[in-house]
Amino acid sequence: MDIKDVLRLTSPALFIPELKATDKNGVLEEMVAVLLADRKLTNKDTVLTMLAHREEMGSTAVGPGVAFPHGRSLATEDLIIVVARSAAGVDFDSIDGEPTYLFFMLIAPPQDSGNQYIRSLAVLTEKLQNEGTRTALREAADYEAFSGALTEE
Amino acid sequence: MNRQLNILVDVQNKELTLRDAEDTERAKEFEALGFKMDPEKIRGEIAKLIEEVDPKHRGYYLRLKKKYSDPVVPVRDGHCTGCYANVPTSFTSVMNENKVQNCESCGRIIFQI
Repeated sequence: MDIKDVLRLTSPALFIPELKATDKNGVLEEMVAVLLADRKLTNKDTVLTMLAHREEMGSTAVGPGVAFPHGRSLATEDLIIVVARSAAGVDFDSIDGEPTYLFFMLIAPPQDSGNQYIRSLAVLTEKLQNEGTRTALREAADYEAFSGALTEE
Repeated sequence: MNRQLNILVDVQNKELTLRDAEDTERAKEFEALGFKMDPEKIRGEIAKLIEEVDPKHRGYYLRLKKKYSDPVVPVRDGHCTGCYANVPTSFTSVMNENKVQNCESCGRIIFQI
């Protein structure tokens, strides 16, 4: 699995170029709302409560400047990724104490063949270690530029 | 969705996390990526949540849990996703009442997503 495979799990409709939210709960709510609208789901609590509890176990803002809220939920049959940005940054209880600017929310189904869930997390966390990539993602004008920055070697 | 059902769905989602946390190999992979896994904490949270379930629903849920690994399932396209039996259209109309509904075919607790 590589970054191109990971990008197939998201889409322009699941991309929030600029979050309105300014706190952790707000970010999760805004991202879940996009997921629900895309999948025509109505029950936000099913996903939101799961993510909030996952954050309580330990912040998913493993940085630098990036968070990966994630978990399994009955709400989905496929692994799905919602991507969001905040230019000002949000306090997401990051490990380094710094604001978080980039968010990759992974919602996995109860069972996933081929272990896509962890593999996608691994691909993304490795890719986001690169400072140049993070800068390019924060500056990308639109989804096309954003996905282009992610796939750049 | 009503509170009783919310709790049961929450429990089921936590059971999914617990499965990953209890899978030593998988848990190691999560930890290596920087994501904490704490099965003991999840078990404690599940036990606490189950205590909040109305005793009559709790007993039913615990009996179902012995039978199925997925005692609580969503309804998709008018079907129970546990056994794929049709769910009556009246199902959605009672979702907002404080009721816990079960699939008439397999007995699993069902909810609308």
